[in-house]
Amino acid sequence: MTPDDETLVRQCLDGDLAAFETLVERYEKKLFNVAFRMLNDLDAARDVTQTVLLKSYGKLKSFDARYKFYSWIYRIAINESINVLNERRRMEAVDERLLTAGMEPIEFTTSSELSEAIQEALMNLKEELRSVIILRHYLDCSYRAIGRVLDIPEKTVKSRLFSARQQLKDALSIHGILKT
Amino acid sequence: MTDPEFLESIHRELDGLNSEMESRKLHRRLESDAEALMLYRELDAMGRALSTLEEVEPPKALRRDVLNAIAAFAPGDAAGDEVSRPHTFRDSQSSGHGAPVLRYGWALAAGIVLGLFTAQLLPREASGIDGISGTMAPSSIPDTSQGLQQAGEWLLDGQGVAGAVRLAHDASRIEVAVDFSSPDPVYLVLTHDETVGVVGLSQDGTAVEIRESGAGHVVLGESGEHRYRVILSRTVAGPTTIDLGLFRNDELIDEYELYVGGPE
Repeated sequence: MTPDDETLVRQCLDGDLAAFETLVERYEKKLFNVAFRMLNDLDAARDVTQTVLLKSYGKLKSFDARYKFYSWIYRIAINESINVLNERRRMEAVDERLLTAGMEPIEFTTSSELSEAIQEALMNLKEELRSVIILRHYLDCSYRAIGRVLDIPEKTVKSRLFSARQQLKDALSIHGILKT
Repeated sequence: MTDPEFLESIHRELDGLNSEMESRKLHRRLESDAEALMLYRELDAMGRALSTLEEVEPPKALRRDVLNAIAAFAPGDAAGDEVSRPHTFRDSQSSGHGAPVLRYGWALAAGIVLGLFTAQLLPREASGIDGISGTMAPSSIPDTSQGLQQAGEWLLDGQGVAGAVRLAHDASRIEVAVDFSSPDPVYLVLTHDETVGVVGLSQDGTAVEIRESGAGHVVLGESGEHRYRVILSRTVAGPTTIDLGLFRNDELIDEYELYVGGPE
C-alpha cells in the first residue's frame, strides 16, 4: 500500500529522499495542470511546478502537519502562478483588444479547439475566480478544501465559485459552446 | 432568480452535495420555473464542458530536474534547506496569451545566454546589460567539489585579469569554478544548451541570488579577488559544452569553450 502524504512528509523530514520522490510523482501532474490552467503557458507552468516542488521540499520543516499536505502544496502553486501573472502584468501592457477578441460565435470542430476556447474563457476570469474553478472542477476540491487552500472562508468560496461559474457560462454561451 | 438559497441549491446540486430530499425539492421547483431551469441546464453544460478539458502531460524531464536539484544540494540531508529552481527561460520567454512557444519550458534554445548576477555587484546601469528580471532565491552550494571528476583547468592571464577556470563534473552535476583577480569589475557570461541548467551560484563561498536578463545575459563580477562557483545540473547524461565569456565594460576580454564529457 502506498503511504499517505503525512507519512511521506515525515519520512522526508527524516532524510528519505525517496519519500519526496513519491510525493513528486503524486502531485507533479496536478500541479503542472493547475499552473497551466492558471497561466495558459506551458513553459511558465513547468517553471512554476519546479518552483513549487523545490519550495515545498525546502520549507517542509515549516509545514504544519495539522493541515493536509495537498492543500499546502496547492496553495503554493496558486500563489506562485499569481506571482507569475503579476510579473507578466508588470512586464506587459494589457491589450484590451485581446480580451474582447474572439468573443464572436465560433464553430468548434475538434476537442482541442473546444479546450482552447474554454481555456480562453478561463483566462478572462479574474485570478481569484479562476483559481476556485480550477480547484473545484479540476482538482475536485470540496468547498472547505478550497477555503483551506486559498485561506478564505467557505462562504467566500461559494460566492466566488458561483460568480465564476456564471461568468464562465456567459462567456461559453457567447461562444456557442454550451449545448443544454 | 434572485433567491440566494435557491441559487445555492442549484450549485450544490451540480456539485453533488444536495441530499435526496433537497434534490427532489429543487427539481420540483425547476419544473415550474423556466428561467431557473435554463440556468441549471447551462451551468450543468458548463460543468460538462469544463470536464472535457484535456489534461496536459508535464515534460518528462521535470521530475528528474527537481530530484537532481534536491540531490545535488542536500545530499543525505533532511528536507528543510532552500533549493533553487533550475534555471529556465520563464522570465525571458513570455508567450503571452497565445499558444506556448516552446514544447518544453525547460528547453533552451541553443546559443541563448544564461545568466547569473550577484546582488552585491555593480549598479545595474553600470553593467551595460539591461533588463535583468528573473530572480531565484540563493541556493545552498555544496561545501566541496569532493567526488567530482576534474575535467580541466585554464589559466586567465591577460588585460589585467589573472586567475583560473576549473571544470569538474559527475553524473548529475557540473561545477565551473572561476578564481580571478581584477582591478575592474569583470562579468562572466555562461551559455549552455538544454542538457544542463544552472541551479546554484556562490561568491567567495556564500550562496548568492541568481538572476537572468530579458536579453538572456547573465552577469557576475566585482573588482578585486573573488571566487565564483557555478553549479549546473545535467538533464541529459551526455557530453555538453559550456561557453564562458569574460567581459569588462561590455568588451569581451576572453572566452572559453568548456567541453564536459558524459559521466563515466
